[in-house]
Amino acid sequence: MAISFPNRKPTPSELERLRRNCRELIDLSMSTDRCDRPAAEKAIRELYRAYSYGDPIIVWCASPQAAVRSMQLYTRYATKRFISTRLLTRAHPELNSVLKQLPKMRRANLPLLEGNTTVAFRSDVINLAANRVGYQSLRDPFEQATSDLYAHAISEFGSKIDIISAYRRTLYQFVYNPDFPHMIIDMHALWDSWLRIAVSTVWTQPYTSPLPQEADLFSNVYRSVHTWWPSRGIVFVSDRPTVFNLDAQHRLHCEDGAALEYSDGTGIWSWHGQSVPKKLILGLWTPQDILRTQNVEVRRCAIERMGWEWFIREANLAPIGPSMPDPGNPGQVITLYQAPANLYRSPVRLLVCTNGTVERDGTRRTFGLTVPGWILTPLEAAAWIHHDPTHPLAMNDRIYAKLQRRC
Amino acid sequence: MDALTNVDEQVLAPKTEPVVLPATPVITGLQAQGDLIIIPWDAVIMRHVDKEHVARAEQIPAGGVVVLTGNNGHDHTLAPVPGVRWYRYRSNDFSSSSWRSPTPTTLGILVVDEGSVGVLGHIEHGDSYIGPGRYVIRRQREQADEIRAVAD
Repeated sequence: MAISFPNRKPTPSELERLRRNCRELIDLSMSTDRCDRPAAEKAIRELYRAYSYGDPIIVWCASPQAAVRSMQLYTRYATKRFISTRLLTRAHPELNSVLKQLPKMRRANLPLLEGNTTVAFRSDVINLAANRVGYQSLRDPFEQATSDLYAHAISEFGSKIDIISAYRRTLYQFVYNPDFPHMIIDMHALWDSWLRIAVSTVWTQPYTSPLPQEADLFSNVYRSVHTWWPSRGIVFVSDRPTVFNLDAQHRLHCEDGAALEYSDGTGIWSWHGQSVPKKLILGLWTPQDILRTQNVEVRRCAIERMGWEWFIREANLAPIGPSMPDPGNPGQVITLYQAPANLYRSPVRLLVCTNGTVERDGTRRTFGLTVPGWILTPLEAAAWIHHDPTHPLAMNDRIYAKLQRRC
Repeated sequence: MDALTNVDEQVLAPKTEPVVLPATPVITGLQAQGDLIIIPWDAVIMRHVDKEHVARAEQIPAGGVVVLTGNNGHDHTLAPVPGVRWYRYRSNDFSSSSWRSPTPTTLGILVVDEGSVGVLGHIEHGDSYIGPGRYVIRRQREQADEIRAVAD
């Protein structure tokens, strides 16, 4: 029985269902609730039973990083049979939490982790679907229909769909271990989410038919765990984070703490989506620390966090030429500084301006804007900032000096 | 008893002066609000270029139109005043230029008819009143590693 996808744009009711499904997936991705462990274990065992893989050992970890570490230690424990348990646990205390969850069996009989198992899962699902419904009829219309729906989802939600991929991407940076195929897990999860969105939106019948039930089983697992690393005999599962902060553009961001943190304390500190060291967010960096950083994006985040005023003061930057009165902002001046040579990739100068109105706490907000290194005076800098070379209406310092009001 | 009542009245209901904020001036020249600048399109400069764009400028819909969304969620909005028309530039409007900056920063054309006042509002920066004339609203640009638009 071949599946034919409707060759048309989604109807409003389908779009509504799409919206609901996307909303559900987004909330699930960002959830900080504890996982329902019995339900998750039940889902995993059902999936394994369907694939005739036998009952797996399930090991829970507090975070993906802890899970990867546990997998490494488990492999060492299971393969190096001549090193005593006591020696290993004394050297690596984290092994204890893994050993507690293993059933009583000889070390030699412990199942080993196999890197390609998840690939087997994915191709099995595709093959099953293909065998039942005909591969060609599934693949191309599916991709066409889902890409259409995906495009609609993106246009409806903007960057919200990217939360899922951005979140998973951040997880990669965090759980960096080339030995374990978490990349494949993610593609599978994303494929699964895609499939569920497409299927439950486009088809009016329940999505268990005509798709194989295995797709359901996978979805149940993904919805109940945070991340997982399945192997033939053993499954490592990570629990959800305790802290998950996003900014208005749905990037990981937190000004006073970790942006993504797990219950064992491991976490990512992030500034508007850029992973940064903890001390940057806590404000303990000096200008020397900033200039010493190799990553230009991290340098930019540090400046944003601390402010140009702080930087000029701490780094003792000298102004270029005299300050000029700020047009349209009576009583305030604009000043041009030379930024340190290795702050950005090209030499830039800094225009520092002060707000006309005071903030609620009585201070005036000062901010800095970077301009090219060939700018000579503050007024020229201000005019460059408001110039657009693609537009017929030019801006230069003569015109800018006539600014009547700035609020 | 009377003396005590008088004291209570003075304490409980102190006289407060009403706060008078300076009136916002209506400006037809160059003015700026936050990281937007409103540039008057003077009489003779390249009038032929914008005739088509001005013709496409339409009345602002009720509810206002967002000119620019700031990073912390505060938008610059144009209020739906009759006699004020707005045309947002499309990406192919100045495609005839031989080279384009990475982020074209000019947002669109604002036309304010005689007798009306355009209102560009912002929660933090306060409103700007724009007198009759034709204007262009532009963002700020910044040079970091490449030229890009400033986010408020």
